[in-house]
Amino acid sequence: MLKELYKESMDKYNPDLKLIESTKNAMYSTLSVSDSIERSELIGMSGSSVVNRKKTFNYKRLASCCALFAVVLGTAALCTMVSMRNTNPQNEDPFASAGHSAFEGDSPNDGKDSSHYISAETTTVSETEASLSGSAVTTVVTTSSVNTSTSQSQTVVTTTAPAPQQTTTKAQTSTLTSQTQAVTTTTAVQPTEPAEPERKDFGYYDPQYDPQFRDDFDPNMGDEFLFEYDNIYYYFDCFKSDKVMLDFDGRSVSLRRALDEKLIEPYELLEFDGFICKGYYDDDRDKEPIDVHLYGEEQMQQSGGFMNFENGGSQDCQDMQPAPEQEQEEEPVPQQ
Amino acid sequence: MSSQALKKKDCVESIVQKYSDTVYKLAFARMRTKEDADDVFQEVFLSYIKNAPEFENDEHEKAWFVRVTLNCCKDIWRTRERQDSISLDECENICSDKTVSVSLESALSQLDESDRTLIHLYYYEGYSCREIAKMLEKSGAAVRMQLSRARKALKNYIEEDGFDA
Repeated sequence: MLKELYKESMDKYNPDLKLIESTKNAMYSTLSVSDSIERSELIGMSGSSVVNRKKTFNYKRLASCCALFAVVLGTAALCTMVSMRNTNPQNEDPFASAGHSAFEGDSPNDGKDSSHYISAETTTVSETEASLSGSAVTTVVTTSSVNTSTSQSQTVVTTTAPAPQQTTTKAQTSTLTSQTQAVTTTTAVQPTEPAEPERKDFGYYDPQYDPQFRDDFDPNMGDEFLFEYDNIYYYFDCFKSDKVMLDFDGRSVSLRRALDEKLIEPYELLEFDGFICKGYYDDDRDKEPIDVHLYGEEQMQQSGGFMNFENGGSQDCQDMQPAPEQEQEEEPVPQQ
Repeated sequence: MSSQALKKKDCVESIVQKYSDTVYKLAFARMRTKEDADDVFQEVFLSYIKNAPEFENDEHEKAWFVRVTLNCCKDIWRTRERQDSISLDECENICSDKTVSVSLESALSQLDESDRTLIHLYYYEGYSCREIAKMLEKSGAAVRMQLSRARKALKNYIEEDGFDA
Protein backbone atom coordinates (compact mmCIF):
# COMPACT_ATOMS: atom_id res chain seq x y z
CA MET A 1 0.00 0.00 0.00
CA LEU A 2 2.68 2.42 0.98
CA LYS A 3 4.67 1.44 -2.05
CA GLU A 4 1.86 2.28 -4.45
CA LEU A 5 1.05 5.51 -2.68
CA TYR A 6 4.64 6.58 -2.66
CA LYS A 7 5.17 5.75 -6.30
CA GLU A 8 2.05 7.63 -7.20
CA SER A 9 3.20 10.68 -5.31
CA MET A 10 6.71 10.66 -6.78
CA ASP A 11 5.61 10.09 -10.35
CA LYS A 12 4.50 13.69 -10.43
CA TYR A 13 8.03 14.95 -10.04
CA ASN A 14 10.02 14.86 -13.20
CA PRO A 15 12.79 17.03 -14.50
CA ASP A 16 11.39 19.58 -16.89
CA LEU A 17 12.67 19.93 -20.41
CA LYS A 18 14.34 23.22 -19.71
CA LEU A 19 16.41 21.68 -16.95
CA ILE A 20 17.39 18.74 -19.11
CA GLU A 21 18.44 20.97 -21.98
CA SER A 22 20.46 23.28 -19.76
CA THR A 23 22.13 20.28 -18.15
CA LYS A 24 23.02 18.83 -21.51
CA ASN A 25 24.45 22.14 -22.66
CA ALA A 26 26.57 22.35 -19.55
CA MET A 27 27.79 18.82 -20.19
CA TYR A 28 28.62 19.63 -23.81
CA SER A 29 30.59 22.69 -22.87
CA THR A 30 32.50 20.70 -20.28
CA LEU A 31 33.21 18.10 -22.91
CA SER A 32 34.39 20.78 -25.35
CA VAL A 33 36.84 22.15 -22.84
CA SER A 34 38.27 18.75 -22.10
CA ASP A 35 38.44 17.97 -25.83
CA SER A 36 40.48 21.08 -26.51
CA ILE A 37 42.87 20.16 -23.73
CA GLU A 38 43.29 16.69 -25.16
CA ARG A 39 43.91 18.13 -28.60
CA SER A 40 46.55 20.47 -27.34
CA GLU A 41 48.26 17.60 -25.58
CA LEU A 42 48.26 15.57 -28.76
CA ILE A 43 49.90 18.39 -30.67
CA GLY A 44 53.15 17.93 -28.81
CA MET A 45 55.39 19.76 -26.45
CA SER A 46 54.18 23.17 -27.37
CA GLY A 47 54.00 25.88 -24.83
CA SER A 48 50.23 25.78 -24.66
CA SER A 49 50.13 22.04 -24.23
CA VAL A 50 52.67 22.24 -21.45
CA VAL A 51 50.56 24.87 -19.77
CA ASN A 52 47.51 22.72 -20.21
CA ARG A 53 49.30 19.75 -18.74
CA LYS A 54 50.24 21.80 -15.76
CA LYS A 55 46.68 22.87 -15.35
CA THR A 56 45.44 19.36 -15.48
CA PHE A 57 48.17 17.94 -13.26
CA ASN A 58 46.64 15.63 -10.73
CA TYR A 59 47.95 16.70 -7.41
CA LYS A 60 45.73 14.30 -5.57
CA ARG A 61 47.26 11.36 -7.34
CA LEU A 62 50.74 12.61 -6.57
CA ALA A 63 49.88 13.02 -2.91
CA SER A 64 48.43 9.54 -2.69
CA CYS A 65 51.51 8.06 -4.41
CA CYS A 66 53.81 9.85 -2.00
CA ALA A 67 51.78 8.65 0.96
CA LEU A 68 51.87 5.09 -0.32
CA PHE A 69 55.60 5.27 -0.88
CA ALA A 70 56.13 6.58 2.64
CA VAL A 71 54.04 3.76 4.08
CA VAL A 72 56.01 1.15 2.14
CA LEU A 73 59.30 2.63 3.28
CA GLY A 74 58.16 2.78 6.85
CA THR A 75 56.99 -0.84 6.78
CA ALA A 76 60.27 -1.98 5.28
CA ALA A 77 62.22 -0.11 7.93
CA LEU A 78 60.10 -1.62 10.68
CA CYS A 79 60.56 -5.13 9.33
CA THR A 80 64.30 -4.61 9.13
CA MET A 81 64.42 -3.45 12.72
CA VAL A 82 62.38 -6.39 13.93
CA SER A 83 64.46 -8.92 12.01
CA MET A 84 67.65 -7.41 13.29
CA ARG A 85 66.43 -7.73 16.83
CA ASN A 86 65.40 -11.32 16.46
CA THR A 87 68.12 -12.84 14.33
CA ASN A 88 71.26 -11.41 15.73
CA PRO A 89 73.37 -13.46 18.04
CA GLN A 90 74.70 -12.42 21.41
CA ASN A 91 74.76 -8.86 22.27
CA GLU A 92 77.52 -7.06 23.98
CA ASP A 93 76.52 -4.58 26.55
CA PRO A 94 77.39 -1.31 24.96
CA PHE A 95 77.56 0.44 28.29
CA ALA A 96 79.67 -2.12 30.10
CA SER A 97 83.38 -1.65 30.67
CA ALA A 98 85.12 -1.44 27.40
CA GLY A 99 86.18 -4.36 25.26
CA HIS A 100 84.50 -7.16 27.16
CA SER A 101 82.89 -9.91 25.14
CA ALA A 102 79.95 -11.70 26.68
CA PHE A 103 80.91 -15.06 25.34
CA GLU A 104 84.56 -15.27 26.10
CA GLY A 105 85.20 -18.62 27.71
CA ASP A 106 81.51 -19.40 28.11
CA SER A 107 80.58 -20.97 24.86
CA PRO A 108 79.92 -24.66 25.47
CA ASN A 109 80.07 -25.73 21.93
CA ASP A 110 82.09 -23.35 19.94
CA GLY A 111 85.72 -22.61 19.94
CA LYS A 112 87.28 -19.30 20.32
CA ASP A 113 86.74 -18.34 16.75
CA SER A 114 83.04 -18.68 16.94
CA SER A 115 82.99 -16.76 20.19
CA HIS A 116 84.79 -13.93 18.62
CA TYR A 117 82.42 -14.12 15.72
CA ILE A 118 79.51 -14.05 18.07
CA SER A 119 80.86 -11.22 20.08
CA ALA A 120 81.44 -9.23 16.98
CA GLU A 121 77.89 -9.81 15.99
CA THR A 122 76.81 -8.93 19.48
CA THR A 123 78.61 -5.67 19.41
CA THR A 124 76.97 -4.74 16.21
CA VAL A 125 73.57 -5.62 17.50
CA SER A 126 73.97 -3.90 20.81
CA GLU A 127 75.15 -0.74 19.22
CA THR A 128 72.30 -0.84 16.85
CA GLU A 129 69.85 -1.50 19.62
CA ALA A 130 71.30 1.28 21.70
CA SER A 131 71.19 3.69 18.87
CA LEU A 132 67.69 2.76 17.91
CA SER A 133 66.16 2.63 21.29
CA GLY A 134 68.01 5.46 22.85
CA SER A 135 67.73 4.74 26.50
CA ALA A 136 66.62 1.13 26.13
CA VAL A 137 67.37 -0.91 29.17
CA THR A 138 67.36 -4.47 28.00
CA THR A 139 68.69 -6.14 24.93
CA VAL A 140 67.98 -9.75 24.30
CA VAL A 141 69.87 -11.75 21.76
CA THR A 142 69.71 -15.41 20.96
CA THR A 143 72.52 -17.30 19.43
CA SER A 144 70.53 -20.19 18.11
CA SER A 145 70.62 -18.81 14.65
CA VAL A 146 74.39 -18.64 14.66
CA ASN A 147 75.11 -22.02 16.25
CA THR A 148 73.40 -24.20 13.78
CA SER A 149 75.44 -27.30 14.72
CA THR A 150 73.95 -27.41 18.16
CA SER A 151 70.43 -27.77 19.30
CA GLN A 152 70.82 -25.50 22.24
CA SER A 153 70.38 -21.83 22.06
CA GLN A 154 72.57 -19.55 23.95
CA THR A 155 71.08 -16.40 25.06
CA VAL A 156 72.54 -13.29 26.43
CA VAL A 157 70.53 -10.78 28.26
CA THR A 158 72.46 -7.61 28.52
CA THR A 159 71.33 -4.53 30.26
CA THR A 160 72.60 -1.07 30.38
CA ALA A 161 74.11 0.42 33.53
CA PRO A 162 73.35 0.22 36.35
CA ALA A 163 72.07 -3.32 35.73
CA PRO A 164 74.84 -5.91 35.78
CA GLN A 165 75.85 -7.73 32.65
CA GLN A 166 74.92 -11.36 32.39
CA THR A 167 76.90 -14.07 30.70
CA THR A 168 75.60 -17.33 29.43
CA THR A 169 76.22 -20.78 30.73
CA LYS A 170 74.58 -24.03 29.95
CA ALA A 171 72.72 -24.03 33.22
CA GLN A 172 71.25 -20.65 32.55
CA THR A 173 70.21 -21.36 29.01
CA SER A 174 66.70 -22.49 29.75
CA THR A 175 66.07 -19.64 32.16
CA LEU A 176 67.38 -17.08 29.79
CA THR A 177 65.50 -18.60 26.94
CA SER A 178 62.27 -18.27 28.84
CA GLN A 179 63.23 -14.73 29.71
CA THR A 180 63.86 -14.17 26.07
CA GLN A 181 60.45 -15.44 25.26
CA ALA A 182 58.93 -13.33 27.99
CA VAL A 183 60.79 -10.25 26.89
CA THR A 184 60.06 -10.94 23.30
CA THR A 185 56.45 -11.25 24.17
CA THR A 186 56.37 -8.03 26.11
CA THR A 187 58.18 -6.14 23.46
CA ALA A 188 55.81 -7.26 20.76
CA VAL A 189 54.68 -4.32 18.73
CA GLN A 190 51.06 -5.33 18.25
CA PRO A 191 48.79 -5.30 21.25
CA THR A 192 47.01 -8.55 21.98
CA GLU A 193 43.47 -8.55 20.80
CA PRO A 194 40.74 -9.60 23.12
CA ALA A 195 39.85 -13.22 22.86
CA GLU A 196 36.92 -14.04 20.65
CA PRO A 197 33.68 -14.36 22.49
CA GLU A 198 32.57 -17.83 23.20
CA ARG A 199 30.04 -18.96 20.66
CA LYS A 200 27.28 -21.12 21.87
CA ASP A 201 24.80 -22.46 19.45
CA PHE A 202 24.37 -19.77 16.95
CA GLY A 203 25.68 -16.86 18.81
CA TYR A 204 25.56 -16.41 22.51
CA TYR A 205 27.61 -13.37 22.99
CA ASP A 206 29.37 -11.75 25.86
CA PRO A 207 29.47 -7.99 25.45
CA GLN A 208 32.58 -7.50 27.47
CA TYR A 209 34.57 -8.84 24.57
CA ASP A 210 33.17 -6.41 22.13
CA PRO A 211 34.62 -2.95 22.42
CA GLN A 212 31.84 -1.59 20.32
CA PHE A 213 29.31 -2.10 23.04
CA ARG A 214 31.44 -1.81 26.08
CA ASP A 215 31.45 1.87 26.83
CA ASP A 216 28.42 3.65 25.61
CA PHE A 217 25.90 0.92 25.55
CA ASP A 218 22.31 2.14 25.63
CA PRO A 219 19.63 -0.52 25.77
CA ASN A 220 17.00 1.88 24.51
CA MET A 221 18.65 2.20 21.17
CA GLY A 222 16.99 -0.33 19.00
CA ASP A 223 20.01 -0.93 16.83
CA GLU A 224 22.41 -1.80 19.61
CA PHE A 225 22.84 -5.51 19.93
CA LEU A 226 24.90 -7.74 22.08
CA PHE A 227 23.88 -11.08 20.71
CA GLU A 228 25.27 -12.13 17.42
CA TYR A 229 23.47 -13.98 14.72
CA ASP A 230 24.39 -13.84 11.10
CA ASN A 231 26.73 -10.96 11.78
CA ILE A 232 23.99 -9.06 13.53
CA TYR A 233 24.22 -8.30 17.20
CA TYR A 234 21.35 -8.33 19.67
CA TYR A 235 20.93 -6.90 23.07
CA PHE A 236 19.67 -9.91 24.88
CA ASP A 237 22.44 -11.85 26.41
CA CYS A 238 19.99 -14.11 28.09
CA PHE A 239 19.21 -15.74 24.82
CA LYS A 240 20.34 -19.27 24.79
CA SER A 241 18.85 -20.69 21.72
CA ASP A 242 18.20 -24.20 22.82
CA LYS A 243 16.57 -23.10 26.04
CA VAL A 244 14.29 -20.46 24.71
CA MET A 245 11.03 -21.64 23.30
CA LEU A 246 8.65 -19.37 21.49
CA ASP A 247 4.96 -19.93 21.33
CA PHE A 248 3.24 -19.05 18.11
CA ASP A 249 -0.41 -19.71 18.85
CA GLY A 250 0.24 -23.13 20.18
CA ARG A 251 3.18 -23.97 18.05
CA SER A 252 6.31 -24.29 20.10
CA VAL A 253 9.43 -23.28 18.32
CA SER A 254 12.91 -22.91 19.67
CA LEU A 255 14.47 -19.55 19.14
CA ARG A 256 17.05 -21.08 16.89
CA ARG A 257 14.37 -22.62 14.77
CA ALA A 258 12.39 -19.41 14.73
CA LEU A 259 15.35 -17.56 13.39
CA ASP A 260 16.22 -20.28 10.90
CA GLU A 261 12.69 -20.37 9.61
CA LYS A 262 12.51 -16.62 9.67
CA LEU A 263 9.53 -16.61 11.95
CA ILE A 264 11.20 -13.74 13.63
CA GLU A 265 13.95 -11.83 12.03
CA PRO A 266 16.49 -10.67 14.53
CA TYR A 267 16.98 -7.28 13.03
CA GLU A 268 13.33 -6.51 13.34
CA LEU A 269 13.47 -6.28 17.07
CA LEU A 270 12.54 -2.67 17.03
CA GLU A 271 12.13 -1.57 20.56
CA PHE A 272 13.64 -2.62 23.72
CA ASP A 273 11.79 -1.88 26.87
CA GLY A 274 13.60 -4.11 29.26
CA PHE A 275 11.72 -7.21 28.39
CA ILE A 276 9.42 -6.24 25.60
CA CYS A 277 10.31 -5.88 22.02
CA LYS A 278 8.61 -6.03 18.70
CA GLY A 279 9.22 -8.55 16.06
CA TYR A 280 7.81 -9.75 12.83
CA TYR A 281 5.83 -12.90 12.74
CA ASP A 282 6.72 -13.95 9.25
CA ASP A 283 8.57 -12.79 6.20
CA ASP A 284 6.03 -10.19 5.27
CA ARG A 285 7.48 -7.02 6.60
CA ASP A 286 4.51 -4.96 5.59
CA LYS A 287 2.48 -6.48 8.36
CA GLU A 288 2.33 -4.97 11.78
CA PRO A 289 5.12 -6.05 14.04
CA ILE A 290 4.01 -8.08 16.98
CA ASP A 291 4.89 -7.84 20.61
CA VAL A 292 7.49 -10.21 21.81
CA HIS A 293 7.75 -10.56 25.51
CA LEU A 294 11.13 -11.60 26.67
CA TYR A 295 12.09 -12.74 30.07
CA GLY A 296 15.12 -12.35 32.18
CA GLU A 297 17.25 -15.33 32.81
CA GLU A 298 15.75 -16.04 36.19
CA GLN A 299 12.24 -15.89 34.87
CA MET A 300 13.16 -18.00 31.95
CA GLN A 301 14.48 -20.64 34.23
CA GLN A 302 11.25 -20.59 36.16
CA SER A 303 9.04 -20.59 33.14
CA GLY A 304 11.11 -23.03 31.20
CA GLY A 305 12.18 -20.36 28.80
CA PHE A 306 8.95 -19.76 26.97
CA MET A 307 8.10 -16.56 25.25
CA ASN A 308 4.70 -15.76 23.92
CA PHE A 309 3.98 -14.09 20.69
CA GLU A 310 0.79 -12.16 20.87
CA ASN A 311 -1.30 -11.32 17.86
CA GLY A 312 0.47 -13.93 15.86
CA GLY A 313 -1.11 -15.58 12.86
CA SER A 314 -2.38 -19.10 12.99
CA GLN A 315 0.05 -21.86 12.40
CA ASP A 316 -0.31 -25.58 12.42
CA CYS A 317 0.81 -27.01 15.67
CA GLN A 318 3.96 -28.95 15.35
CA ASP A 319 5.68 -30.77 18.08
CA MET A 320 9.06 -29.40 18.63
CA GLN A 321 11.77 -30.87 20.71
CA PRO A 322 12.20 -28.74 23.78
CA ALA A 323 15.58 -28.32 25.36
CA PRO A 324 16.54 -31.20 27.59
CA GLU A 325 16.75 -28.97 30.64
CA GLN A 326 13.20 -27.85 30.32
CA GLU A 327 10.48 -29.75 32.07
CA GLN A 328 7.56 -27.68 31.01
CA GLU A 329 6.27 -28.08 27.51
CA GLU A 330 4.23 -25.71 25.44
CA GLU A 331 2.89 -23.89 28.37
CA PRO A 332 2.55 -20.23 27.67
CA VAL A 333 3.97 -18.04 30.36
CA PRO A 334 1.90 -15.12 31.49
CA GLN A 335 3.33 -11.94 30.24
CA GLN A 336 4.63 -9.39 32.59
CA MET B 1 33.68 17.91 -34.74
CA SER B 2 35.77 14.79 -34.24
CA SER B 3 34.21 11.36 -34.16
CA GLN B 4 35.31 11.01 -30.59
CA ALA B 5 33.50 14.18 -29.65
CA LEU B 6 30.42 13.00 -31.44
CA LYS B 7 30.58 9.73 -29.58
CA LYS B 8 30.83 11.57 -26.31
CA LYS B 9 27.86 13.70 -27.16
CA ASP B 10 25.83 10.63 -27.98
CA CYS B 11 26.87 9.32 -24.62
CA VAL B 12 25.60 12.48 -22.97
CA GLU B 13 22.22 12.14 -24.61
CA SER B 14 21.81 8.53 -23.66
CA ILE B 15 23.02 8.90 -20.12
CA VAL B 16 20.79 11.86 -19.41
CA GLN B 17 17.83 10.10 -20.91
CA LYS B 18 18.53 6.97 -18.90
CA TYR B 19 19.04 8.46 -15.48
CA SER B 20 17.32 11.82 -15.48
CA ASP B 21 14.22 10.51 -13.74
CA THR B 22 16.13 8.49 -11.20
CA VAL B 23 18.42 11.34 -10.27
CA TYR B 24 15.71 13.96 -10.18
CA LYS B 25 13.25 11.98 -8.14
CA LEU B 26 15.86 10.98 -5.63
CA ALA B 27 17.08 14.55 -5.39
CA PHE B 28 13.56 15.78 -4.87
CA ALA B 29 12.82 13.11 -2.31
CA ARG B 30 15.86 14.25 -0.41
CA MET B 31 15.68 18.00 -0.86
CA ARG B 32 11.92 18.49 -1.17
CA THR B 33 12.19 21.64 -3.25
CA LYS B 34 12.30 21.95 -7.00
CA GLU B 35 15.14 24.45 -7.04
CA ASP B 36 17.41 22.26 -4.95
CA ALA B 37 16.49 19.21 -6.95
CA ASP B 38 17.40 21.09 -10.13
CA ASP B 39 20.77 22.04 -8.69
CA VAL B 40 21.52 18.52 -7.63
CA PHE B 41 20.42 17.21 -11.01
CA GLN B 42 22.89 19.40 -12.86
CA GLU B 43 25.70 18.71 -10.42
CA VAL B 44 25.31 14.97 -10.78
CA PHE B 45 25.53 14.94 -14.55
CA LEU B 46 28.36 17.41 -14.64
CA SER B 47 30.18 15.23 -12.18
CA TYR B 48 29.65 12.32 -14.51
CA ILE B 49 31.23 14.24 -17.36
CA LYS B 50 34.14 15.49 -15.29
CA ASN B 51 34.99 12.17 -13.65
CA ALA B 52 34.17 9.92 -16.61
CA PRO B 53 33.86 6.85 -14.40
CA GLU B 54 33.97 3.36 -15.78
CA PHE B 55 31.30 0.87 -14.84
CA GLU B 56 31.21 -2.86 -14.75
CA ASN B 57 27.52 -3.12 -15.53
CA ASP B 58 24.26 -1.20 -15.50
CA GLU B 59 23.67 -1.83 -11.84
CA HIS B 60 27.02 -0.40 -10.98
CA GLU B 61 26.30 2.59 -13.13
CA LYS B 62 22.94 3.24 -11.49
CA ALA B 63 24.40 2.80 -8.03
CA TRP B 64 27.02 5.39 -8.94
CA PHE B 65 24.36 7.90 -9.90
CA VAL B 66 22.41 7.24 -6.74
CA ARG B 67 25.50 7.63 -4.61
CA VAL B 68 26.59 10.83 -6.31
CA THR B 69 23.08 12.26 -6.06
CA LEU B 70 23.04 11.66 -2.34
CA ASN B 71 26.47 13.19 -1.97
CA CYS B 72 25.44 16.28 -3.90
CA CYS B 73 22.37 16.62 -1.71
CA LYS B 74 24.56 16.39 1.34
CA ASP B 75 26.89 19.05 -0.02
CA ILE B 76 24.05 21.42 -0.69
CA TRP B 77 22.67 20.89 2.78
CA ARG B 78 26.03 21.60 4.27
CA THR B 79 26.64 24.74 2.31
CA ARG B 80 23.22 26.19 2.85
CA GLU B 81 22.74 25.02 6.45
CA ARG B 82 19.09 25.01 6.09
CA GLN B 83 16.38 23.37 8.08
CA ASP B 84 14.36 20.51 6.81
CA SER B 85 11.35 22.30 5.43
CA ILE B 86 9.01 22.03 2.55
CA SER B 87 6.80 24.42 0.79
CA LEU B 88 3.35 23.01 1.16
CA ASP B 89 2.13 25.35 -1.53
CA GLU B 90 4.08 23.26 -3.96
CA CYS B 91 2.28 20.15 -2.90
CA GLU B 92 -1.11 21.73 -2.95
CA ASN B 93 -0.59 23.08 -6.43
CA ILE B 94 -0.32 19.58 -7.69
CA CYS B 95 -3.44 18.28 -6.06
CA SER B 96 -6.11 20.78 -5.24
CA ASP B 97 -8.05 18.38 -3.06
CA LYS B 98 -6.62 17.14 0.13
CA THR B 99 -5.99 13.59 -0.97
CA VAL B 100 -4.06 10.80 0.61
CA SER B 101 -1.10 11.51 -1.65
CA VAL B 102 -0.92 15.11 -0.41
CA SER B 103 -1.10 13.81 3.12
CA LEU B 104 1.66 11.36 2.32
CA GLU B 105 3.83 14.09 0.88
CA SER B 106 3.19 16.26 3.85
CA ALA B 107 4.14 13.35 6.09
CA LEU B 108 7.24 12.69 4.01
CA SER B 109 8.34 16.26 4.42
CA GLN B 110 8.30 15.80 8.15
CA LEU B 111 10.69 12.89 8.02
CA ASP B 112 14.42 13.27 8.28
CA GLU B 113 16.20 13.54 4.98
CA SER B 114 17.95 10.24 5.57
CA ASP B 115 14.61 8.55 6.27
CA ARG B 116 13.17 10.01 3.12
CA THR B 117 16.11 8.72 1.16
CA LEU B 118 15.58 5.24 2.50
CA ILE B 119 11.88 5.31 1.74
CA HIS B 120 12.57 6.47 -1.79
CA LEU B 121 15.31 3.96 -2.51
CA TYR B 122 13.29 1.10 -1.06
CA TYR B 123 9.82 1.85 -2.38
CA TYR B 124 10.45 3.76 -5.54
CA GLU B 125 13.74 2.50 -6.83
CA GLY B 126 13.09 -0.99 -5.53
CA TYR B 127 16.46 -1.56 -3.93
CA SER B 128 16.71 -4.17 -1.24
CA CYS B 129 17.91 -3.31 2.22
CA ARG B 130 21.18 -4.97 1.52
CA GLU B 131 21.75 -2.96 -1.64
CA ILE B 132 20.82 0.25 0.12
CA ALA B 133 23.19 -0.60 2.95
CA LYS B 134 26.00 -1.06 0.47
CA MET B 135 25.23 2.23 -1.23
CA LEU B 136 24.97 4.20 1.95
CA GLU B 137 27.88 2.37 3.58
CA LYS B 138 25.81 1.25 6.51
CA SER B 139 25.08 -2.13 7.97
CA GLY B 140 22.07 -4.04 6.76
CA ALA B 141 20.65 -4.08 10.25
CA ALA B 142 20.91 -0.33 10.53
CA VAL B 143 19.13 0.18 7.25
CA ARG B 144 16.33 -2.18 8.15
CA MET B 145 15.95 -0.56 11.52
CA GLN B 146 15.85 2.91 10.08
CA LEU B 147 13.38 1.89 7.41
CA SER B 148 11.07 0.41 9.99
CA ARG B 149 11.21 3.54 12.05
CA ALA B 150 10.60 5.69 9.02
CA ARG B 151 7.54 3.65 8.08
CA LYS B 152 6.23 3.92 11.57
CA ALA B 153 6.81 7.64 11.70
CA LEU B 154 5.15 8.07 8.32
CA LYS B 155 2.17 6.16 9.50
CA ASN B 156 1.89 8.32 12.60
CA TYR B 157 2.11 11.50 10.58
CA ILE B 158 -0.53 10.35 8.13
CA GLU B 159 -2.86 9.26 10.88
CA GLU B 160 -2.46 12.62 12.51
CA ASP B 161 -3.76 14.15 9.31
CA GLY B 162 -6.83 12.05 9.65
CA PHE B 163 -6.19 9.42 7.00
CA ASP B 164 -5.92 5.69 7.33
CA ALA B 165 -2.65 4.43 5.90
